[in-house]
Amino acid sequence: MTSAARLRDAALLHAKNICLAHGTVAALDGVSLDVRAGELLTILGPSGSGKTSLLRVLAGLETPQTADALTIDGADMRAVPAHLRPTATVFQHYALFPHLTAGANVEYGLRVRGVPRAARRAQAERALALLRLADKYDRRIDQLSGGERQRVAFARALVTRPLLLLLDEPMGALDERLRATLEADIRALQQSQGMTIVQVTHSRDEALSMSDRIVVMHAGRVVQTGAPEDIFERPSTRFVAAFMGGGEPHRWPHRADRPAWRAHRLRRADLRRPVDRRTAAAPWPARLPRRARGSCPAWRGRLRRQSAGRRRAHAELPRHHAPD
Amino acid sequence: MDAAFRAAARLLLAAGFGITALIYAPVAWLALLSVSADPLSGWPGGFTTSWYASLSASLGWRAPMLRSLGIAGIVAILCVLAAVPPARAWPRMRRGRVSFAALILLPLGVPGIVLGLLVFTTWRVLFGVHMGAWSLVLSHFIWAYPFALISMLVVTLRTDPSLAEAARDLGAPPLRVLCDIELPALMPGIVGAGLFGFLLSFTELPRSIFTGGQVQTLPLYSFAQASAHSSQIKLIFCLNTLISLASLAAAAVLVVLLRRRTA
Repeated sequence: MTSAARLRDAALLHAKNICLAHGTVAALDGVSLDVRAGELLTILGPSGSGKTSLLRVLAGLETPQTADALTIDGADMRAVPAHLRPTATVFQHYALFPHLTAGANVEYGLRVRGVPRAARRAQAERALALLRLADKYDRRIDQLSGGERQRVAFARALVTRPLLLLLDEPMGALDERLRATLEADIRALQQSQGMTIVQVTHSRDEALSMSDRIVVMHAGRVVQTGAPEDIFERPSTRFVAAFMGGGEPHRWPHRADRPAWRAHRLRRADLRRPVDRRTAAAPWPARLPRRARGSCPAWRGRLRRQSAGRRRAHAELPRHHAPD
Repeated sequence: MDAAFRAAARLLLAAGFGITALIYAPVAWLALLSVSADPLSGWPGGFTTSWYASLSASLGWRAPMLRSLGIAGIVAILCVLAAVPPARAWPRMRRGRVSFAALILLPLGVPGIVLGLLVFTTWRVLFGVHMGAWSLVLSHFIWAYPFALISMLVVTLRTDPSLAEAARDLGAPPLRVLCDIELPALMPGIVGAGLFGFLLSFTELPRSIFTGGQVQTLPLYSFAQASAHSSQIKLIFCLNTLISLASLAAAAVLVVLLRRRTA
């Protein structure tokens, strides 16, 4: 049995060759992903790399044009609508219901499942207590601080006991100190409850400090998958190296500026070259696979017309640091 | 600089109060005249409640009033039902948003008399619509709908689309998402659309002149009485005072209710 096949057997989530286009813009270009039960997997990438789209596909909020496989716990999810999937999402801006109290927000997932009032109140209180919000049950959402809202959103997602918890930039709007405590919270929850978590972030530090594994995405494709140390120490392409290691943000020069344009072209070619074929033990082709375009036959013709726009998307790459 | 700024602010505040007075003063004046001995003189004086007594004794205004209430109610409901779907769709439209909005809002530029005439000539002749209560509903609806839609659009554009997604994600089937999450969020817009539909229909005169046929609404009745210099004309002051107070009270109650909901 190959190692890939063994991973697929142990995988809670298995996604293969997912292609998603918004209009004529390709968001996901043949993405495959395996998530093991009980792990915290981070999808890392610059803005526009398709990481949030991927999360939305997993939650069922977007329907991919093609997907060779999408299973959660062995069940095919491709035809299952969002409200019947065993996933729960913590949205980037929390998406708490403003007309309900914190407690009613947490209870909502149980309410639609027909859990009796007393039972769901007890569960909601337990979930709030777990996140140190025991006394906030009756608060309105606008009376909560940013960190408290974040934790209410967590409690709301946890209380339905999802098989897979999806976090969309969970720390995005929080300050440094809150981030640290929440990172610890998420880690503790994951380990005590045995949760499987997929989180999306553009912050390299967050990804390195709390993940079991990292998936680096770029321009709608997965460019490297591995443990944090592997990604950091043995990036498979210059893009990953630049993204993980810092450096000057790249700017798209004006076409008329000939020297800058030529330098830019060279640099772009360079970005796609492998760092070092001996150290880069990447399972992925070192050069970004051009043929991947063929893996999404559904929108082949459509994307060809868009090729100029796509090229621009590629060139914007090393914009790694979070615009905070 | 600072002093000039403060003076300007004070001036604007005064102007604000002035404009408010412009709106409320005629209502107060009307109320004063309605308890005056000779309302038609235009000056209050010799205060009496006798006009109110004869208003409650007279019967002519009751049927038009009930008819107007009914028509306005139907127009309000139609406005809400017709404004919610496009307003929900609008923020999700990928293209054609501006032209869609322009298409809906441009009829506001058609003068009321012209619109009444259009319904009277076109709808009657081409579609065989009989002029009566339903043609009133139709013309009032055409008039009020753009306002209702604007009121809904303001709310749907402000509503975070991720709320509905969060509800779906938590396991709510589409109908529950609509009832539990979307409708409460849209409630200010729904109330606004209904209010526009009701008030614009209830006070509508120029279109009603053409589309009313034999059916008399309250504004048509008031207009007819006033232009005929009939003995009923003094009662119109009382009637309009009561209507103004009632609609002000209704609007105030709605504002309070909405505040409680959205606060």
